[in-house]
Amino acid sequence: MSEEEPGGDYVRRVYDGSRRFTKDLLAENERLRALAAGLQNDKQRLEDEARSMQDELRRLREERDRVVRSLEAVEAENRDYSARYVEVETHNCNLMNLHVAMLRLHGTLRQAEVVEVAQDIIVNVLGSEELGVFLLEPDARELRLAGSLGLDAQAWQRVPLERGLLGRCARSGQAFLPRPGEDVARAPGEETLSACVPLTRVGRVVGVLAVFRLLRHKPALEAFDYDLLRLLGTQVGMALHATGFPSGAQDER
Amino acid sequence: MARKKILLVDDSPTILMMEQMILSKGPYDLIVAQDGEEGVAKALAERPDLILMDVVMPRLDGFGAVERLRADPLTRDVPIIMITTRSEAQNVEAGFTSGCNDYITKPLNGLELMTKVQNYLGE
Repeated sequence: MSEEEPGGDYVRRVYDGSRRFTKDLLAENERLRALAAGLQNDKQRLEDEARSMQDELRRLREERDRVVRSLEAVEAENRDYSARYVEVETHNCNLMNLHVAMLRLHGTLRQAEVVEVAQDIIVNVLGSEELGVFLLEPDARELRLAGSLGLDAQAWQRVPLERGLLGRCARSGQAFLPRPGEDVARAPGEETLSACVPLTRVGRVVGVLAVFRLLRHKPALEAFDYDLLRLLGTQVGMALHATGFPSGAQDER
Repeated sequence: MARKKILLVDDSPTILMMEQMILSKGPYDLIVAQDGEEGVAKALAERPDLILMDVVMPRLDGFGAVERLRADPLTRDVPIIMITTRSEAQNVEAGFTSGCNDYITKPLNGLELMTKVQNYLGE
């Protein structure tokens, strides 16, 4: 303590200093309180915003899930429509094939041309390049090869009705349309026979249409092929009838 | 839009009839030829936008016809689709070697034929 400063002044200065300090402290405290209150408000606001954003996020997620589900449903519907379109187009194509086959078969009155058309249909609609069109001889004892493709015509020139699947088809009037893997007794030469159908006129057999090996890229006959073959059985028979064939042999049976 | 012209070359009336039925659903003018010689002559005369060519035909087969069309500046760039019963690699390769752009196997599938035709005609 200085000698020049009276004790009262010193106390007053300390007092004033303390007072200013206290005042500043209170002001600072007030400022900090205000700041804390502001921060508290900000925190509350941000928490409210965060909650709101979380709600919005949840809503958007739900919306996204709903849109994804809708999209999946639309895609499934598209796939379904595409599959149906292919199915309808396949049916259309099959019907068109049958239509063309009938137009061609009934567009001639020449027996040789009917046989040629039958072969053409088998090659181009069914998908085989090994086939034979056999007609029943007037004595009804054997089949005679009237037209063939990819076969040894000499070996197949005549087929007795007692022989193999072709003979059985001609005798019984029953088509041979085997199921996949079906094991049946075959005569020599019939190992590659895929199908044969009787050619009929008013229910009477006038010949047999035999399809042997199929084209390489055609693994097996399908339901449409069997329908086509059955149809050819009757329609080739009728077309042959229109040409004047046969000469009455079947009527004598 | 101008109608596109398609030349169908096949010796089988059945196939020609089928192709005509399938393609008549589109906006096309169809021209037919029944062998390779006639096909080449009609291609040069008619200048088609696309040719569907069979392989096995009398007078001139499909491979020979394609080679001749590729050798002529008038038909060099016309897309050609071979229609074949034989899908063996050797046969397909012979088609591409002769200059065809694509091939379709018989029996014809209407959807496949229409799709390929539309692709080659830029539709």
